[in-house]
Amino acid sequence: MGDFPSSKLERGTIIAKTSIKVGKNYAQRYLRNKISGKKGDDGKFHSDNAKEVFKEFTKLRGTALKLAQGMSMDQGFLPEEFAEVMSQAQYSVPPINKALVRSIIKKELGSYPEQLFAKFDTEAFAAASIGQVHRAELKDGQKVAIKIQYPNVRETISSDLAVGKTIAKRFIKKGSDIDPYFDEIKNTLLLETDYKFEGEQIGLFSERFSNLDIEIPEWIEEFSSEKVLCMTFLEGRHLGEFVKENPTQEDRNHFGQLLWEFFHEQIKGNDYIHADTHPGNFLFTKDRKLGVIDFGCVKKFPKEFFADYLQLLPTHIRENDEEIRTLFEKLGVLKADSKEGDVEQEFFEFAKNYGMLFSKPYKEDIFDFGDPEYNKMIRHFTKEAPLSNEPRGNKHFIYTTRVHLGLYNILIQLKAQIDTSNSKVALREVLNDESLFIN
Amino acid sequence: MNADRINEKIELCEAAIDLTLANQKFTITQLSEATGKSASEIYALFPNKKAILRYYYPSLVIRYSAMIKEIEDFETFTISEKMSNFIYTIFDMMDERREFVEDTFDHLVFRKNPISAFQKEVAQLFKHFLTSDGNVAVSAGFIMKDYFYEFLAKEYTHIVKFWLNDSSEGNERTFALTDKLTGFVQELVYNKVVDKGFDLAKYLIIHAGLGKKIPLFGNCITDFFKKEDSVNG
Repeated sequence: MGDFPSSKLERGTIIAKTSIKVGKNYAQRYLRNKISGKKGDDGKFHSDNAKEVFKEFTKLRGTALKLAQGMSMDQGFLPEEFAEVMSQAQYSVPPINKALVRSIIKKELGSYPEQLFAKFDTEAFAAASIGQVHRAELKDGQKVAIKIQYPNVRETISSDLAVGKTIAKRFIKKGSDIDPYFDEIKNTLLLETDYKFEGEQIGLFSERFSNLDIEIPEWIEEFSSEKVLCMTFLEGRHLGEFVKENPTQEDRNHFGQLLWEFFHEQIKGNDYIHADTHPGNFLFTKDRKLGVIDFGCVKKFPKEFFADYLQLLPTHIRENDEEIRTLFEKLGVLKADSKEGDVEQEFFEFAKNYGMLFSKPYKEDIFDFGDPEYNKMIRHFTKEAPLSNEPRGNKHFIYTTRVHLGLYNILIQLKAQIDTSNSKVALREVLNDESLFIN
Repeated sequence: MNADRINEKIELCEAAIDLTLANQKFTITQLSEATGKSASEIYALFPNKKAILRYYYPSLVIRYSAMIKEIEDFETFTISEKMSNFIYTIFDMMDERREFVEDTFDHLVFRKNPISAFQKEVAQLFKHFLTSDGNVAVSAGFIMKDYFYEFLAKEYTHIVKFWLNDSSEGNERTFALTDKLTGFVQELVYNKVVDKGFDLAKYLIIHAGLGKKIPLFGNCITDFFKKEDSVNG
């Protein structure tokens, strides 16, 4: 298969074939272990299977790869080795053929790259799920990054999700309504393919965060379209590269703090939130700024939902079971009129304890995300998350969890010690609760 | 032919196409008015009116060859990328005169017997792509003869026909076909399996004693490889 996502049938076959193959591998391993009574090399096994999924999903790019990216981010949900391989989806996908890149630029911007730019690197420096990025230089010398959307990504979203939904239905409880979740993902992905919208968001985020040490590229509309996005080039290192440099604790704290402040600034004013909190979207610049890139996945949550979501924090801090239960019911985590002792209790206990874990950093003035015990607990809870094969919670949880868990995941990898004082002020303001965090 | 002369020819050809599309046909007087060139200047470049229109197709390849000189790292493109780039770029050019291409591609190119000037230019270009590519397997030399380039050029005209009849959004089907065909050609000429087979045979015969076991055959093969080695320096 080349650079073109083919028919719905072909894409569906690849997804189904991969899930069957991986499922078969896991079943065989289970039987083998049962019969022999011995446990094999789990690490290698998970890693091999992940490579299989990655190889096949990479061919598809687009939605399928987005799902892989999501899986890698929800660290803990997957075996570590699996998540490690799948995290490649955040950075490395084989780029599309150079001829196609020229053709897309011509079609979208009216001329070939060598006519539009002083320099254009035909080799993509980053390639991910829905597009790839090339370095270029404008005729006035400005260095830019040109993001080019893969062909037919938009057209394949619906068909890929339809296949995904069919597969998901095999695993979840009969009669569960998964449509709202899939619709939410579909709408978000469709918006993500509109690069004009992303360009506008870049401008809006720049205005909002100019007071922080946050660097956001500048959208260059003249060289952009719905499928090509031109923005100023940001130099910096991704999380992996930064950690490999063996940074000092002070540097780890500095960048961690910037991420933490960025997250809490965003929740003010019920505006758009950068909802793709994975390491590939953040850069640590040499002048100690946090570069934020990729504004394709931004979300504005309904006011009522978001207010309830944020209320989870004070209710967990107060450790008031009744308040927590009521809020969970309102947010669809628990069924209405749940009581102690019924089947909902297990969900309640799990969700409450998970919430406690998330609220833990706010109970301290300085919280150490490098604490191995905390990392272990987060992983434990995320792994245990699917208590039942029944989807729970408001559909908007998909992206709030992604943002929140993504942030904690990066901070854990950074081993950052975070000063929570500013965030507490922000939360008091947003929740209009002056007594919050005051003992 | 120098660049100015080529540009003049292209300018005349495009003006002639526009006149033909507007009026079904054109006269040299009209062309003269449209381009500001005298009849004698036009005839110095083309023998007759038909030749002016026929020049459109080979001129696409000439224009394309000039265009790729502007692509800094064109030499880093793989064979599949070079061929796809040619195909997509020509589609872009043809799209600017699509009506003319729809009217004339069949009789000026596709059904032309013997092959058209356009196909000859395409075959030459493909030959250049393949013979200047350092990744092509040595064994691919067996198939890389003139008839192979002509065959590729002929296949290419089928892609153009496919494109002309393609009603899929953004010509998605043509792009997919191009992608798969050029990918196949690349696999064919880059594949080093036969090269490796030769290496193995050479080793077995010369160094592992297989040649001594079958003396007549072995001597022939040894001589062949010795000659080949001396040719390759």
